[in-house]
Amino acid sequence: MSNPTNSSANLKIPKKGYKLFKTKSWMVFIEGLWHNNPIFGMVLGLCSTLAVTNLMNNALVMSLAVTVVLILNSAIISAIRNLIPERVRMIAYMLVISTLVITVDRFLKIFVPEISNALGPYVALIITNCILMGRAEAFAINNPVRISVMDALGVGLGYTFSLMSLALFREILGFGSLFGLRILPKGISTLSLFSVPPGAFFALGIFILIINSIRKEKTDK
Amino acid sequence: MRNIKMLIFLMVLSTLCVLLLTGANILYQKASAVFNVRLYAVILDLFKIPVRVQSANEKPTGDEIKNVFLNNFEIKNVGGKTYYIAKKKDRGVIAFKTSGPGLWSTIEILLAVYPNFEKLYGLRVISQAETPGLGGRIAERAFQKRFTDVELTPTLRIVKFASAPNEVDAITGASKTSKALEVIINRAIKEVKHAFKEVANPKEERGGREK
Repeated sequence: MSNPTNSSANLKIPKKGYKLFKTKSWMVFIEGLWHNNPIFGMVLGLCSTLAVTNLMNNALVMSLAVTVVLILNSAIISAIRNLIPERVRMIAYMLVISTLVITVDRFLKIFVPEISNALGPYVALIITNCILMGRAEAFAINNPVRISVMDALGVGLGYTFSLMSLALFREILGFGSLFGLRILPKGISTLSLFSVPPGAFFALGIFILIINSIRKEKTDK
Repeated sequence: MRNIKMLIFLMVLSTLCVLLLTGANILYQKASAVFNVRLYAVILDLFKIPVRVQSANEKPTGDEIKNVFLNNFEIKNVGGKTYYIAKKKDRGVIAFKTSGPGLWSTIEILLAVYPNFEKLYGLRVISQAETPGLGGRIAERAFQKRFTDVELTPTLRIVKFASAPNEVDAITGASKTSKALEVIINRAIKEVKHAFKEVANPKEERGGREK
């Protein structure tokens, strides 16, 4: 966990460039999407990440579910942030998160029943995903709604990006397919290691290595 | 005072959450009722039972389908699975939904067997996502009709040239999907046989388990 805190005040707003890229919400957005990416940067919510990234379809639905819950949760928590008594704020987060997750789970069961089956308990387990709690406690509780939503959007899309890139790698190597369609010719044997959760550890490790070396290069400059 | 404020806050928040969940649950139940009606329509179609519609042009409504279905079938839960047993036309035939892995996707089918479990009454594919044009052809009516009155002893087989009464012609170029379908059907038949035998002789079955 490099720096999972909010510290939106510490963000350096560049003086050059387009106006859009100088706003605070844009900075917060990019912070969650790239610099503090929930998987590769903060390394949060790994359990479900390792489990659902074997197929692109699963990863897509899972990350959309997390993003939706994250945005709604941040919006609600930040809207009622002045009403929440400090001592019970964790309970308040849990109540809001579980309500949202159960609702999303119901919707997935109705609209994409097969994928909901494939994801098994992991949709319901979004409730315990640290990313949600983390963003509520570190950001939404101290910031106005608009900025909190941008932060949630950034972190959510960062999560989506991470899951999709992991799934891309794992599905091609593990199953030889993409979104369920076979792309590698039949003769080539697949590495079934990448289709099982232990293989996900290797994939994730390789990804964090690559991303961190890119990041380091940038800061060194 | 602070404690009271806390209590009130939590009560209000919990109430709001409960209301939202209740709403979501009501929606969910309504939606699953729609799924049931779709299944009912498939079963009625398999048994060739028409749904009378008031005006000739319109499609039957969900309620109309449901009423006709409940008039013609008995819904029975055995061992956690739902079976639909014909009450009037083709009395005693057992219809049920089952699913299993195909080549790429989960194949969901409706099966109907005669009460002696020796012959298949018919088959309908409810959902599949096999290779379009090859395995995906299991969704075609002509293929599904091949399963009418096929014998199940010793097991049903999907083969190149069907010659025996327990054999069905496979789809050319889709041997994997055909094989998968064969496995799904035979497993489902075994399960339904087992489930209904347990209902008929519960004591015997229990004795067997104690060993």
